[in-house]
Amino acid sequence: MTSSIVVEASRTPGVGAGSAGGRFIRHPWVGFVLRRLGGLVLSFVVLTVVTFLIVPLIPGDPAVIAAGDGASPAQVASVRAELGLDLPVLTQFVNYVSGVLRLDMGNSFVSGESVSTLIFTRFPFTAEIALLAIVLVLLLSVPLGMIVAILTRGGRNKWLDNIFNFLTSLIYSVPQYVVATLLVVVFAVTLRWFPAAGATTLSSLVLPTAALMLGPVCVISRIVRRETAVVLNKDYIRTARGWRLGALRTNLRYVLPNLVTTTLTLSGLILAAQLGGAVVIETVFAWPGLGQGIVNAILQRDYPVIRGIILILGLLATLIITMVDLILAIIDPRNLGGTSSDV
Amino acid sequence: MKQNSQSTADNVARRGGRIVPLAAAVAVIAVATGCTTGGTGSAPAAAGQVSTDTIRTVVNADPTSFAPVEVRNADDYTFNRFLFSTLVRRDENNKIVSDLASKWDITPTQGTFTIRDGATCSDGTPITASVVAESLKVFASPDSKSSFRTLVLGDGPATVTADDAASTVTVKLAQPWTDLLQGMSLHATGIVCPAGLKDPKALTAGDVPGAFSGPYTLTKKQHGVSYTFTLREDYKTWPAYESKIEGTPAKTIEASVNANASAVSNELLTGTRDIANIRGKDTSRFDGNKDFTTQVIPQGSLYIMFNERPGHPFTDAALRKAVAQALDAKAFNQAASGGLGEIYSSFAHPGVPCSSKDTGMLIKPDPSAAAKTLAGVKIRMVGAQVFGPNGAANTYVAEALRAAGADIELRNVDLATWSTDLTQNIDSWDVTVMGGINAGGTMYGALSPVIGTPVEKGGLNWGGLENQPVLDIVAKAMTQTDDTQRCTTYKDAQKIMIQEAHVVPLSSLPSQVTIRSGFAMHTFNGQPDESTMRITK
Repeated sequence: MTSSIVVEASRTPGVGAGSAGGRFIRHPWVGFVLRRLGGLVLSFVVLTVVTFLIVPLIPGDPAVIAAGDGASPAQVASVRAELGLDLPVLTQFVNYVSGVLRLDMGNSFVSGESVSTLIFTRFPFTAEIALLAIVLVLLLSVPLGMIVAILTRGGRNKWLDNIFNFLTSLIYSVPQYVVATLLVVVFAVTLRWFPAAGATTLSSLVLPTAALMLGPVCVISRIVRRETAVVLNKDYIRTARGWRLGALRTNLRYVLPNLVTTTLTLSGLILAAQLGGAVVIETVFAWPGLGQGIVNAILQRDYPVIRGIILILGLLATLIITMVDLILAIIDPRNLGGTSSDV
Repeated sequence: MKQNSQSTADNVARRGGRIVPLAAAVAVIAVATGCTTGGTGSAPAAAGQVSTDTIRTVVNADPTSFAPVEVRNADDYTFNRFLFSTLVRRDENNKIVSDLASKWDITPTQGTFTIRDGATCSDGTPITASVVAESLKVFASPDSKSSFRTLVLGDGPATVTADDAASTVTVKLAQPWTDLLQGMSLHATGIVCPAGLKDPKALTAGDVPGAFSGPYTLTKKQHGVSYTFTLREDYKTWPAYESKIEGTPAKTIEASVNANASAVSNELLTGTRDIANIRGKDTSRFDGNKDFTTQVIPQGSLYIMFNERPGHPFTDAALRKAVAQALDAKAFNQAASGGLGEIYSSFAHPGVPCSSKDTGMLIKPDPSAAAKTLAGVKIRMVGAQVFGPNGAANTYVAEALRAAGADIELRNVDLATWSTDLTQNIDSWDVTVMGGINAGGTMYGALSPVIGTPVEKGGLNWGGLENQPVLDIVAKAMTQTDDTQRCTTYKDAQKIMIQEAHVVPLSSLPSQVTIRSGFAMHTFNGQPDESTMRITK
């Protein structure tokens, strides 16, 4: 397949196998970037179509909700027309897609405000706890997993291994909303160290971020511990020790880098999941982010807001995963999908 | 393999500088954090510790509109009370007192209101008779967006005229409607100043600083987060309540958006909120807590409503009465609110003028008699999950009817689906637990979901039976300006509705106004009036 492409390309003036253009096209990075861009475009198309189609499947008439208690049928009909819900589905779809392409996701059925504005208002709240959580997860779980692996290498300190396994399993097995509630009860209601809800001060960040990060810290530290144990048994580590390199230098120079691929891949997936998983945390802590926004929008059948938030969250998740792929490819060109000799 | 791994290890190790972007990311997040959370970094206030000029309260959701004619839910009403004055207000025992109108003259078909001196808009414009009339014309228009128009003015056209020389506004009605005076106390009739009327779209968004006639202006809004209201320094025309309103109005009211009752309760208990209206099991967290005063109020009344359209089982009065016999209001109240609510003897809550307190009207529980009639009857019930934890109130009703031998199918759904089924999918249900909010607080408001033109014909009646005898009684009551006479007439309407089992009164839908020590807010006739929020120390 590759050779036929090369042959066809060589028939085109200026793009032959020996030309600079040909070398550009065959460069692994070009194919990699094109594949990722194609994936992004495909995700966008699928998300756009799916968000349009699934939202009206939620039972309940948005016009009835938007018109409010005690509205007459005439008022409901008027609201339905105002919202464009009386238009044929195909027309609604065309209007939706053309709006999305113009970065206009319409106005909220409930408040009349622009969906873009609502998302713009809420997104920073979700982003800050999700990003803060993932950074802290990396800062805590990688050293923790490595230290436990090093201290328990070769069956030493079995007690530490048992405690580590027990605690990480226990914490991870507790549902996130229970963890969140416990944090509120202990650190907000009882000790009063941090606010129980809302986003009013810097200290408001502590409990939601803690609730978001505890589970991932347990998972990633266990994986890092396992990966570290494997790396520690590799010949090159034994060689490094044979050269009498210090433990710190050996671990930082030769063990840590070999954990990066796994850790980054997992972290990317977890960060993407955090964006959606923030729904529970934002509800418990009344954190005014996208998660709380989509819950309210669903309860109020606010179609444009539901669609806008799902679309943005979906695209962000895709972007994050793409960025992780990109970083992994920079770190290790074998991830480009070709062979390293192509580079 | 060994070489590859080591080579990779070396490559990555050489790029050790990547720790730097990580540190940078932490710094960026820290900056971003400051952007969204305000960044004072202060610890929460201890319980009981209050600021001297701010009240921190909570609403469930963002307002749907700041325009009085577009108010639709309880949170809209709250904000409306901060921003707009009405002609009159309802004091305790439904006594009508002065707000923008200093006096009034009411006949069954007309109301003349004298506008008090000295009232001004938030941009300094004097509130004259013409200003009031122009605002009320929007409310009274046949194209009015207000779902309260019929409650205030009746179905027919209404004309509003102003006499600036006499400082009077006259509202003429096409039919007798003595609810007019009480209707002019409703938030939906709030007076919008000329600046707001000029730009309805901006008014809806709350973006017209000069639109407000009430004590506060909207000075900051952050959708989904909070809304800040600032007391107008030039506002002197407070409502003339006879009830004593203690304390000082807050210079600033900060209302955060939080629909989670547990989180709101946590905020109250940890000193970050001062006043909140909470529902559900969290209300018990304040039992015996001396730092708070609590008052249980009815958000509405819960009663059984039947689909009385032809072809449905409950066109049969015997079946309806059997349902009433199968239910025990006390057990229902326990399921709906853990016993926090109040058992009702009418479908209108006790704060509604003329609401019956006569328990003798009620059909007595008699499960064995109910079983004789209901055995084998197929019933489709739809219930809203908001009534009791996960719709426990509906579950109780369904199980009581099942115990009486009925073949019942219950769908417990969210509020949006429930209201859609009752108003759009009218043949999909036979019986439901109705939560009558009756924000207008009138007997007609309590009756309108169960009498008059059905929704499928353009009316407000969800039950489907027009019920002409009751409509005739309402028409008679609307010609009566004497309160005692009206109440006697309305008692006849309630007797028909309850004894013919068109409705089965059960209990209140309770919520708890919870107020930190050092603050106050009044409730009149079971309804909180947010404009009476005060700082008392």
